[in-house]
Amino acid sequence: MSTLTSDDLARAEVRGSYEITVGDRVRLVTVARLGPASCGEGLRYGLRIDDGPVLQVDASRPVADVLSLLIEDDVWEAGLVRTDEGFDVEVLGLRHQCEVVDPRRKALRLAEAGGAASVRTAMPGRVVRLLVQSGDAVHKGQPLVVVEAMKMENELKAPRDAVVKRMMVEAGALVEAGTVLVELE
Amino acid sequence: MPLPRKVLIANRGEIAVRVIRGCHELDIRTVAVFSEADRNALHVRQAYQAVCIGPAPSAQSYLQAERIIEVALQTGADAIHPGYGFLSENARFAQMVLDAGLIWVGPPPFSIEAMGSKTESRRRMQEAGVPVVPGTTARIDDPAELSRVAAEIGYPVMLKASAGGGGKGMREVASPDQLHSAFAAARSEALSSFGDDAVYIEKRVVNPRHVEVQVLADAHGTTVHLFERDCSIQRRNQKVVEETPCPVLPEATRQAMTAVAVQAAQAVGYVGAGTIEFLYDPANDSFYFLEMNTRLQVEHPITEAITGIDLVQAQLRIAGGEPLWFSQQDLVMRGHAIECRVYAEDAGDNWSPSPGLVTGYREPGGPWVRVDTGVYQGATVPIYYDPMVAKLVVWGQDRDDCIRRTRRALLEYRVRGIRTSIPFFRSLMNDPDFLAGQYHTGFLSPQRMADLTAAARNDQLATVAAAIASLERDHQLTRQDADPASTDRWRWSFR
Repeated sequence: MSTLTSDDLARAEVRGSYEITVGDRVRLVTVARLGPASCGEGLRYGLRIDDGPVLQVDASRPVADVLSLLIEDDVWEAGLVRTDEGFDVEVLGLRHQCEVVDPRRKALRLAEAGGAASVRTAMPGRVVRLLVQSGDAVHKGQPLVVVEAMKMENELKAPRDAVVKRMMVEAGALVEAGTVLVELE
Repeated sequence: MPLPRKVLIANRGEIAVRVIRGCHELDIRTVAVFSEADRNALHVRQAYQAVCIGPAPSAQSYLQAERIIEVALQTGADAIHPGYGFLSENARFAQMVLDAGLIWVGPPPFSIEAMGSKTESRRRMQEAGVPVVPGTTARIDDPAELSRVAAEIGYPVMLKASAGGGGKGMREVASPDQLHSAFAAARSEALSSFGDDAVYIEKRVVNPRHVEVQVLADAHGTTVHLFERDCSIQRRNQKVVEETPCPVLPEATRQAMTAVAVQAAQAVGYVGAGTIEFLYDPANDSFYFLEMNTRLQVEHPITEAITGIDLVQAQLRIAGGEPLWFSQQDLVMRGHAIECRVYAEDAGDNWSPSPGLVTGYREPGGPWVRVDTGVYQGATVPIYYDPMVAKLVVWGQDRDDCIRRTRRALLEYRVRGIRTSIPFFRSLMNDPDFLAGQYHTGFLSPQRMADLTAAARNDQLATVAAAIASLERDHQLTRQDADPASTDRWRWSFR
């Protein structure tokens, strides 16, 4: 275990704190850049989760969207995809949706919540059916659009109670991953 | 050695690549066919010739029988290999190929037809002395007869639509008081699903295993078996993991089952590679004929691994008319093999389809690890076809050795961009019941699937990565928004 302390984190020129939600658990992470990597490419970080010990992490990117991590010498790899909420982090083939909130900006986000929202498809496919139309009041979890790929149908659901502002696609349309299908207000 | 000179492969994906390999090893030229969505597919890139046969949907491309035969004639191919799926079990297509003067790398059309219908194949197998699940082969209409037959074979029983498939028109009946309402329901569902209300009755085997036997038959009357495969690890009636030998099959039962399989193939004049599927009831050590797959199976590589016989080469040589070049006595089971079917489905999100761009791809290697796939880094998995994108096949000197090596290979196997079933397999290879060989076709319940996938999660590590990625983004410590498909290493900015 490294001999890093919270003081090392506090002294660092570049540092941040994030509330990171994975699954139903929220963790407060303090992370600071301590310098170039101990050896070779990358950067050296000190990192602390909640009240845990301060970990030393060497991070490099063998590929643009992959973090190769040496956490106290343990080798790990994480694929990164940016999302509206933070990152989708792929660890050993499994996607972990991470919602990242900078506590300083949290107040701002809370103020925005309840405003407009859009429903996107996570997978590419073909729009089979539209289940609602603009002006409809929908409740949280209500299916809005059916998208088909590989002979399987998937329902996209409303993230919360809302009114459908606009349907952005028509039945039969081919859509890419990330396409906005429905705008809510 | 008489062989086809040039083979058209009427398929796509990993199996097309697999067949191309077999052809090239025998110095046979290859013609790939492809849809508009598959121009950059691996099977196109590896063949000698490739011809586009239509738009992306299978019905307009890979199922276009006339068009495919036309391409074969036009490119000078003298044989067609159908792979599995698509047109492989279509007797009419097989006949069209033969009528065009081409070699059909598969069984004679009459064998396909004889095994194509559930009740028909059941009747033929019974005549040939092959054990079938107790029940009727003919449709039942008379309620009194229904009650009599159900009592005779014993509850629980299954009611099944004669024209059926995919669970439609199927009812399980636990006791006599449910029989007649289930019968009415099965008939009306059969009528609405298949336009035919014929229903038959079968004994329901509780917690059965799916065990199948690989056979090879030449055109000169010799048929051999290449032992069994246990394919009980299934999800929605789809095989997910297969292994050979079956971990719970007594040797005497293996001998009986494989002998019956050879008998079944001979009863329909079978030629080529085929598979006889059985339901195996471990509680009573009994087995019943289920159906015959008149083609190469997805899971054929595990048989190749334990026998050393290349089944695609065997198919091609048999199609060329060569008598079998080994006898049953020459065939021995050596070690153990496991296959994991890698599906482009998100194990972490209820197995929803996950087609798209494969941004990162690193295959496992090392001793006795084989990957059959149609994807590569930068390939796109189209939305139109089967979600199976790769098969991981591992051999070990015994089952434990094989499982340990499979675990290691799964840890090495990295696929990014699309999500796959790989994390699920990593957990499965640590499941105590799987390790004990104690499983059946209902083993993968939704709950167990969810539990196994949850066990593969690493939320803590994801949190660490997300924190570092956030800091790097907020302070522009590394180049951001790089093209995810790019494999370039880049410079660090340390400001």
